[in-house]
Amino acid sequence: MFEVLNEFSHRTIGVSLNAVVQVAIVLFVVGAAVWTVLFTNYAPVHDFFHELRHSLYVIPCH
Amino acid sequence: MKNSKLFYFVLILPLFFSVPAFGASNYTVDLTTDPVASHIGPDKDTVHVTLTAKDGQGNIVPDAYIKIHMHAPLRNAFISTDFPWVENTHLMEYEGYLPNGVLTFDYIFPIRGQYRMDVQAGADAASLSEKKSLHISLNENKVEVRNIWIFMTLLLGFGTLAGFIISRGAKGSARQAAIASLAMFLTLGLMYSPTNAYAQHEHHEMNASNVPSFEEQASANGMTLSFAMNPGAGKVGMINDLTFSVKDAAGRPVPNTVFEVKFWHIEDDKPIFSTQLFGKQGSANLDFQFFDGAEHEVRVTASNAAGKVQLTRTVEVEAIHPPMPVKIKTLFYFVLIAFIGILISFRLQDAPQLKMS
Repeated sequence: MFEVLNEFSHRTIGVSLNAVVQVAIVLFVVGAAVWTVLFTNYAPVHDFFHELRHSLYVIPCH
Repeated sequence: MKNSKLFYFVLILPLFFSVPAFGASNYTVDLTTDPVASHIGPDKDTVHVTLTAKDGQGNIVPDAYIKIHMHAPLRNAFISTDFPWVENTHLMEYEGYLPNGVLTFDYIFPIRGQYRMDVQAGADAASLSEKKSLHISLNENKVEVRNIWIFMTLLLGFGTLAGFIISRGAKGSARQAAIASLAMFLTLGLMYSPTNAYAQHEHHEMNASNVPSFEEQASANGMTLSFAMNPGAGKVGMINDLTFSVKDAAGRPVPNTVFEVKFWHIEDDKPIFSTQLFGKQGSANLDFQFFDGAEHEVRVTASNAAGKVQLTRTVEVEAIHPPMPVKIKTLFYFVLIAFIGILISFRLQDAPQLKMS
């Protein structure tokens, strides 16, 4: 009885943390992608996406 | 005695506030744009602006003296425009005589928002009217508004998809998350039109405000046209002082000269500003902000009774990257939208693992 309860608790915590970590990873990937495309100062990327920034209403360019 | 002095002082006090300053004219300045403000696309359309000096009866006044100052729209605390460094800065200042009472210029307004044009007019510089502020309100291009809604919808959809995959459990989620990420990048790639792929936009490493002033000269028909600029390079958000003058062979200013001035954006191959300035004493002065960080060509043609003389000079304009707080703030909004998408997905599926945590 004790062992089953302990095993159940362990499994529950593991799944929950996994979901939180995955959400964090997804948000990090979104942030990194958006930053790279729209906000980086690295000239080749910045220049390539110049017109895209100017066509998205809220993206600062200069 | 003291009380009666005070009484008379209070009696005449309102006169100080109701009577215009000594010598001030009753001229007014009308402002019109073509196209009308509601049809102007910022950073896109060339707008023909007309300022007309009129007297108290509403008649156009030949040989009027005008003084204008144009100010960029104020900042929005939440969202940025394409040119955050231009927001709430001086764009243009000019004063001079108008032979026919009308000043016109063609200009590309850089950002959306309400521009303020302070105007004064009179018979000469000493008798200018009270300063009045006129306004031009521009909306953002409709395409940009549509694009940002599409972009935010995609982010929300991506977040919802990612949330759906995560809530289905750990098994196989890594592969599905990778597919979702790939779809996100492909979507971004498709949104980017191939026609824009070769937009070159150089960023020069310099400090324009420290570049020394220069003077460019050209001679023809026994005249010398001079163009001086201070500082010697432009900078987004900074105003430059431009002086145009014509002198004869003896070094004397040539009066009644018309300066046809054009600022040509070399990269976009189009003029961002053009006008005709009248130099009653042979010179004209214009303060101007080059709002785009790219090379411009200043093209000047001076005409008077003696003939024409023209010159061209390329000027550098320092580009500045947007302020970091503005970039972080905007990034935060986008990540938040993706996060909302994830939360919507969890809510829809009533994910048990989240409830248990």
